Amino acid sequence: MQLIEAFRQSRGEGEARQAQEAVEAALVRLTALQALRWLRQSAIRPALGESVARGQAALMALIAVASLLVEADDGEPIIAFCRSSSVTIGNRRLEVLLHEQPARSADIEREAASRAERAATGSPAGTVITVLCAAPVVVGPRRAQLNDVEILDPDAPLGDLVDSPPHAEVTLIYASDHLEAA
Amino acid sequence: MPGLSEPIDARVMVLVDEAIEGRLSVCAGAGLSGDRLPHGPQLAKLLRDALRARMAGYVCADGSDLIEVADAADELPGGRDALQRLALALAPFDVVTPGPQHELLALLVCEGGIRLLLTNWDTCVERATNEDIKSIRDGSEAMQGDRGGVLKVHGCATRPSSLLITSAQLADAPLWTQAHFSATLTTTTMVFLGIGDIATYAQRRITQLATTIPHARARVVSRSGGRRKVGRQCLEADPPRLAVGPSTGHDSCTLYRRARPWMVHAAHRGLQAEPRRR
Repeated sequence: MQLIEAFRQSRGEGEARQAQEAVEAALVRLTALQALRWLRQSAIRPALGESVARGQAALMALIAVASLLVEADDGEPIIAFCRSSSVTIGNRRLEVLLHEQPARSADIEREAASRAERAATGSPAGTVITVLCAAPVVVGPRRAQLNDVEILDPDAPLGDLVDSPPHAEVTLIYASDHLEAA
Repeated sequence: MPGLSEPIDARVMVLVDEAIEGRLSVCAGAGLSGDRLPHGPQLAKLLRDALRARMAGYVCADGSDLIEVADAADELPGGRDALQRLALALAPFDVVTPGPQHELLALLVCEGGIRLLLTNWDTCVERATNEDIKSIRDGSEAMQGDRGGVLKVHGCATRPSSLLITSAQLADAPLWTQAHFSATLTTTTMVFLGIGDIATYAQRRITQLATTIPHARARVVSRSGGRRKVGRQCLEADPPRLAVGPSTGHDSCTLYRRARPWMVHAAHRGLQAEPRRR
């Protein structure tokens, strides 16, 4: 897969290199079918015939995951690419959004909220859902916390929803910020 | 299915290159859905029994060949329309759960890695992903510029009148089918997957291609060791360049546009490679 080759070529030194090797090891545990499914489901409305696997956003996401792994302070966390376009770094789960075309931050936030809502189903109250967005070009102000997004528990009785705190909070990470830091 | 860490067979790597360059196509048939829908002979028997029970005047002695069973119905007035609808009622073509083989092909189409020609009537590939793969099912859809990732060259269960089932239909397929098949065959490396019998119009195109392009090579792999029509016809057309190989466990045929010392046939667990035996 060209994506893996490109990811190898982007390797840094020291800790960053180790982290990238760990991310690659997790990625290649997937089958071709699982990898393609993961990539296509992570992408925001990918166009038919437009490759997500060969896009810049997918590579950005991998580099950002490696960067987040370096920042992780719980020893050597296990990385896993999971179903429903997410990746786990130890106990931390990231919902991944890929967008190849230039996008407005407001549109990205809307997609992030939608993805977070799906991820929140079945999770305990007070869960923090982190969405990692990899998009080469994002226009507009970037927010790290989507405080105005209210994610409710879909299984809760209607009466309990009134005046109740949000079931989950949404944190948004932009992959490009981590690339700049790296 | 092996993980991405598994090394790739060198012969398959060439196919990967073709896919990246947009020159790979897959022509898939009944074998693709063989683990969830009836095979040709099974469908033939079901269809013959149904026609005998429900269509007045229907007579067909042999129930093992789907085309013969269909041809017998086609001889009756109004027989073809009834036949198309009856055939679709015999199996859950548009509701059966797709398998991983369908999803893999659908994702490859979405990624722009392959152009997919399906001779199957079922909608497993279209339903295997939540993306709209915008298949072409008939002449009107063939005219739409934003379609073309998947071509239902023998019709689709969602449009009974589009079904190609009789020998007359397969000998003289609709213009859009013939045009797209020819164009894809001549501009891409085409892998035949899960196809036992190639339709007459397709045999004609393959034979034409083999005689027209000096460096074209075809290798036909069949469980029956080459009794299939496509193998016979290609061999008769150009013996020095074409060969029939032994069974590899799946009925499938592979044609390569370019001279390559290998063949590939796809099985349900993904792409597998077999060395070319000289």
